[in-house]
Amino acid sequence: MVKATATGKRAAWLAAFLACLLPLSACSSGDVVDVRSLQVREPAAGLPEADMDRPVELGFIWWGPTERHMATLAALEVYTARHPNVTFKPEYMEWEAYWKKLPTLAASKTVPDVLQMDAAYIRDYVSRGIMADLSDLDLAGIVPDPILEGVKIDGKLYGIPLSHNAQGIAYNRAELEAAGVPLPKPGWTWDEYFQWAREAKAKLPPDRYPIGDSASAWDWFQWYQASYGGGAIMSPDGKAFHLDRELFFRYHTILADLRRDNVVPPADVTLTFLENDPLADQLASGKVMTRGATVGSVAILEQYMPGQVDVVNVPIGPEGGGWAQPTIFLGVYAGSSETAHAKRFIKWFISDREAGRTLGLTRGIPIYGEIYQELEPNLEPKDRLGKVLADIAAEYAMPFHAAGAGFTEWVDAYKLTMEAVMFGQKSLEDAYGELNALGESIAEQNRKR
Amino acid sequence: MRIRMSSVLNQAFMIAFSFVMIYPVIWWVGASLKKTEELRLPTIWPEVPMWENYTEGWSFSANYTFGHFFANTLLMEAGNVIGGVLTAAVVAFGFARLSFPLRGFWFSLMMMTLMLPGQVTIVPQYILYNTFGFVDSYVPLVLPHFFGGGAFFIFLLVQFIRGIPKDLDEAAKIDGASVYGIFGRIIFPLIKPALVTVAIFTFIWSWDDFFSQMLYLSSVDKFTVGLALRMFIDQFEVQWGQLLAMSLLSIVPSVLIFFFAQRHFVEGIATTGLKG
Repeated sequence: MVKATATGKRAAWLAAFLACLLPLSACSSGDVVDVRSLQVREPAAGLPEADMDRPVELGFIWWGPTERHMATLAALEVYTARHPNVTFKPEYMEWEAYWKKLPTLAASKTVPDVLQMDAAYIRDYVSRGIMADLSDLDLAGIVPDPILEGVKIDGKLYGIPLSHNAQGIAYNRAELEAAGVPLPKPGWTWDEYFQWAREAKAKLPPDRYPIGDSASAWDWFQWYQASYGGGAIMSPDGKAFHLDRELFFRYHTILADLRRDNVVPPADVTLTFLENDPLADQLASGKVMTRGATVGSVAILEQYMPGQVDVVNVPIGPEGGGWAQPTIFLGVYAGSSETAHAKRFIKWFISDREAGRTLGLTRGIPIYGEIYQELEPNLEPKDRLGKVLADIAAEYAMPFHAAGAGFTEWVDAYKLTMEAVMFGQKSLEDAYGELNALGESIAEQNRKR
Repeated sequence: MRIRMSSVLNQAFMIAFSFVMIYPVIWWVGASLKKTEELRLPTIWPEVPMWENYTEGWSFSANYTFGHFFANTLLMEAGNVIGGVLTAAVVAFGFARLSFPLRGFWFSLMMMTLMLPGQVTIVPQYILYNTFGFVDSYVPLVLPHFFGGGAFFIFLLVQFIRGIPKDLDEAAKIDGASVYGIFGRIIFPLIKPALVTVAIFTFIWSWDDFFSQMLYLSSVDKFTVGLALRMFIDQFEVQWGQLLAMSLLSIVPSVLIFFFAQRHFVEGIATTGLKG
């Protein structure tokens, strides 16, 4: 009996050892992710015509709402009618599911031939070798050159832009008019923005606020810094970092004064806001008169508050304000064996008239101007609002800067640190010291790599 | 009189407390009948109930109704529950009653899988099923349940079987029953309450297992209710009314199962063994 227990113990240890090995072997499968070694076929031009006529099944994966799914499926049918040898294997889901599923597909080398991409993630997928280089695709006359140059990564084109996007500010026109507040003026500067907030607060009911507290939103400060010539906080490769001391103190001192004078909501109220939630969105809930909005996201505000919302640019400095750039792309999987077909399909997808009519505005304002002009007469109010925002923003836009590689941690730290400042738990001096040190150390690590 | 007074107070307290607990569900029912614009108002009930949220939500997709997704999910669930209950019982019987070489080792190895984080097996598993061509079918979702239904359930049943007196096995053996006879005629009928627990948990856990369903099912034709619900949502746009209406319907099967099986369920947890 004693012996049996001893055997049992030994066996248990052995089992523990084996179980420890399992996760290790799973971890070392990291090399599975790297598909850079995969051969990428020659582009369409290099293939004989006959090869373009053989039967092909293209995988195509995208995210979106039902409306987009239906329109895209219809467009795929149109394509198959034109090219009977090309059929599709579509996969579609919503945003959250898409970004949960794609890493697994990438790691197991089973990404469909054509995939939709977002500006927030494309650099990551390029660095993992998932996206094929599409620089040789001729898009002259379809996508304006400055836009193409703007979306290139290290000089190469990995994602074909589908629509225009831009950052602006949405405001509650109905309530501002009712309170007798002059509406925000297009082209307003940061000084005018803060001044407008003070004047508006005097006319609004006590529990209503003209502007939100943007102290803990790092992108707001980045717009401020860039608009005064301080440049982006970090470079796209994450190797350079610059948090401008003077501008940091100026911006956050203004906000602290506004908080003290009750022009922006108290810190505890600010933290209860949840963007795009029908109950807790700062604008949709009626508590705050303005908030940041993009071309892609402004339609939902129009749905919550039909006919009450209008848009204006992000406040500007000497260098401009906000950004305007496509953020949604189609790319080709680097391991795809049907690169030529995938490229031909993508070009058709953004430039063909019938495709344009079928797809409508389900992916935003089409990148090809001629298609937008054809669609314009039949737009819904929510789509029109997006176009107004795109036009206003484009006038003052600065380049778009996403968080640099490896800076996710810094972005989280900025939010937490500045929240502590909002609650009076931390001095501005300490906050600057901590954020600057953290940013410098991340950039240092990136430089060593 | 005093007793009646206190029981009235008790009842009143419990009713008040139950109301607090059920309030979110009441809000849910109200919100499922609202227009999107009305959702931001602090009211419980809409001015005009929008029953269209249910009818339009039910047939929101041009090609499929929610009936199709419910049928898909129940089909998958049937496989999961049958696989889980049968194989967990067989495996647990083996560990609890049979002696074979390295029994302790295999049992510990199985228990170790409880500590293995699910995340590390996702990619290898996906590659495996993809190689066999099982992706976009129910096989990757159902098949694992046919391998003992999971370490937790086996452990639960082993503990339960250990509570059954061995005398019963021996009596059956004397009467000429084989190992299979003992399992089929003695043990299996006696562990029914525990099997109900296994069935309920298997049902509810796989109903809620959104990630695997999302990973392995890609054509809408095979979507489960959970996946279909997510089709109402996008990065910025959410059709709240229809989403809330359909998600209210989606919990109905779990609630029904719980109501009907509750008696056995409690028995399965409370019964620790049999008295000789």
